[in-house]
Amino acid sequence: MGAFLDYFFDAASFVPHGYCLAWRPDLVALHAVSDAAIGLAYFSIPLVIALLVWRRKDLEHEWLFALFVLFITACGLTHLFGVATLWEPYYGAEGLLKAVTAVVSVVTAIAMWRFIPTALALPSPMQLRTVIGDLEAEIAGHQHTATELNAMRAHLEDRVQDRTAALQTAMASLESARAAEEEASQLVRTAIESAPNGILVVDAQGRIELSNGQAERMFRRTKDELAGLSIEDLVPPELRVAHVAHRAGFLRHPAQRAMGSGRELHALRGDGSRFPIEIGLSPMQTGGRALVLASVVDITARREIEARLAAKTAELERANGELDRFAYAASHDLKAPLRAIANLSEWIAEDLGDTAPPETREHLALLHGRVRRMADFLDSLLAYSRAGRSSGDIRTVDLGALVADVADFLAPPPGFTIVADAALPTLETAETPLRQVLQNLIGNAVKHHDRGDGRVEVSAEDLGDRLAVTVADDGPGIDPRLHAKATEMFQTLRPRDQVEGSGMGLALVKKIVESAGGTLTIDSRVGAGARFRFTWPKRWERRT
Amino acid sequence: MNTLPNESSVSVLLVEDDEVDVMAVRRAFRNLRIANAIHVAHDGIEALAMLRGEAGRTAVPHPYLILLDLNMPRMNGLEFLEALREDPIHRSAIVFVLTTSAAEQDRWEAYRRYIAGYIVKSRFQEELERAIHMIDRFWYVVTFPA
Repeated sequence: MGAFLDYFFDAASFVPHGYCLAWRPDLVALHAVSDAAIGLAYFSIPLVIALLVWRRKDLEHEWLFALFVLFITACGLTHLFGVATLWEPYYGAEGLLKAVTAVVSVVTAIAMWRFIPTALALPSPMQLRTVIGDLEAEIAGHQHTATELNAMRAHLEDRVQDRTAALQTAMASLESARAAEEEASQLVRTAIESAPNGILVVDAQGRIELSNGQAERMFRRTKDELAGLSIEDLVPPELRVAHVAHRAGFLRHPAQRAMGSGRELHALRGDGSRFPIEIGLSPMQTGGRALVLASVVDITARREIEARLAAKTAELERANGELDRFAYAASHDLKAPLRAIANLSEWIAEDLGDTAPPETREHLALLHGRVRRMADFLDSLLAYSRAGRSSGDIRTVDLGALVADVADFLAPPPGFTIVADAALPTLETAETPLRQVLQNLIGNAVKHHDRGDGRVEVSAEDLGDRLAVTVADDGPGIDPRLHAKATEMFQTLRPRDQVEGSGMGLALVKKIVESAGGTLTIDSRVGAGARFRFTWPKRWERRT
Repeated sequence: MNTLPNESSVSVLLVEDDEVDVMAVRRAFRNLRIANAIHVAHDGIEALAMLRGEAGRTAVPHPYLILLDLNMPRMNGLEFLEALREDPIHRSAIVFVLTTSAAEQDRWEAYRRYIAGYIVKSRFQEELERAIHMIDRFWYVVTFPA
């Protein structure tokens, strides 16, 4: 290595270049100054290039600039070496430097040649200016568009603001609507919660979606328990399968109706006990879902009352039946000896004929009268006990004809008139009780009249589903203070020896009329006649 | 009216427990001058025995007609009718019910057992005599079962 360096850098064996110039100062100076100027100039060029490359970050083909820098710097160095070799003969080093410069130069030259197509493709400033002009025009166009866009954007912003304002208004009203809705739904919730009935809302699969407090108390379950249950969990086990089918049937034909109408329904409490219920079902549609609202009433208390009522009714019917049998037996058993007494007294009178003393004949007549009174009394008692029960067949009854028939039967004294209003209607009713009523009222009017030329008028008024029949007489009238007493059992307003009567007539009329669902009223004053008015149903309902 | 031997040959079986009622019928016969024989039984059992000639009783001679009360001890009128209609010999007997009971039920039950008529006894002798008079006419007109 040392030998190699010595070979190239040992200047001992050569003469300086100035020597070749014969040390002519002018020539040496010319070479030295020129080479130095060239070298320095060459050194400035890479600086400029480097500065350019460094500043212009957008420059492409940096490698080319780098080669140029290298190549010019190398050239500069050779020229500076040329100045040095004027005085010192470092021709080895100068040669090496030139060789390096040659390599760099050749590489650069080749690179330049190869760069020609690329360089040709580079747009010229003229072209660039045209392009720039076009671009500027385009930019101007774009700017115009941008201006327009800006205008539009401003317009849009205005609209957006308008819309935003509108939206805010809408939001505000929506908010208040929501508040109102919230209030309404709160009201509905409170209403459902405080409803007297148990309320369950059930979906199409039978799941309980909603329940109220009453339902929870009724079924003895919490709200959370109920919410997790199927409605079938509240149905007694043996009816669950049928209930599923009923539920499906209801969903096929949803309509508001009572569940299991006519059947006894029971439900299951949380503790497994059962209770009787009534259920009303209403179909509901919410958000496209079919729901069923079941309104449940616990009728345990009602069933108990009904049972007590049924027991009372049965007891009453038994007592009535007993009374009926008693009245029947009593009247028969009383009538048999009475009839014997009547017969015997009659025979005694017959057998004695005119031979009996007048006093005996009078006593026998009194005996006969009392027997007759007792017999009448027993008949009335029997009629009263039966009134309102066996009413006979329902037939078409012409009220006018019935009054005429009764008048005929009563055979009032001559001069007495019984008038049936021409407008008396025809009705479908049980004839026997109606005949009994008319017979007693008209009979009373005749019996209690104070003159022989009395007049009884029977008229009727249509009250829709009832008829009001009035039996009016022009007799002595009844003191209003005695009206209530007149319809009591065994009451007569005059001594029986003056007017024969059991005291049962009006009581019987009252009982028959009231059994038929009507009322009996008396309108009378002393000296102003009497008006008995009773109502009678136009449609007769058969009683047992 | 009692001239025909046929009519006075009809005997009457009166089934009646009340002695005064029996007297009333006898008195009506007497007043109407009806001479036909009256045989009295006091209840259904006695009546059946008399018809059949049982229990030491002489059988009621044919032709006969029965006047039947309903309310009686031991065997009442309806029970007697039941037994009578099952009797192979006496089932065709002509029976008039003579009773104080006007009850619908009694009437229906009696007619159901093929009685000839249902007469409600009034308490008046003259009404009874009217009924007895009708019965007198009845056997005068009607041909009895053999």
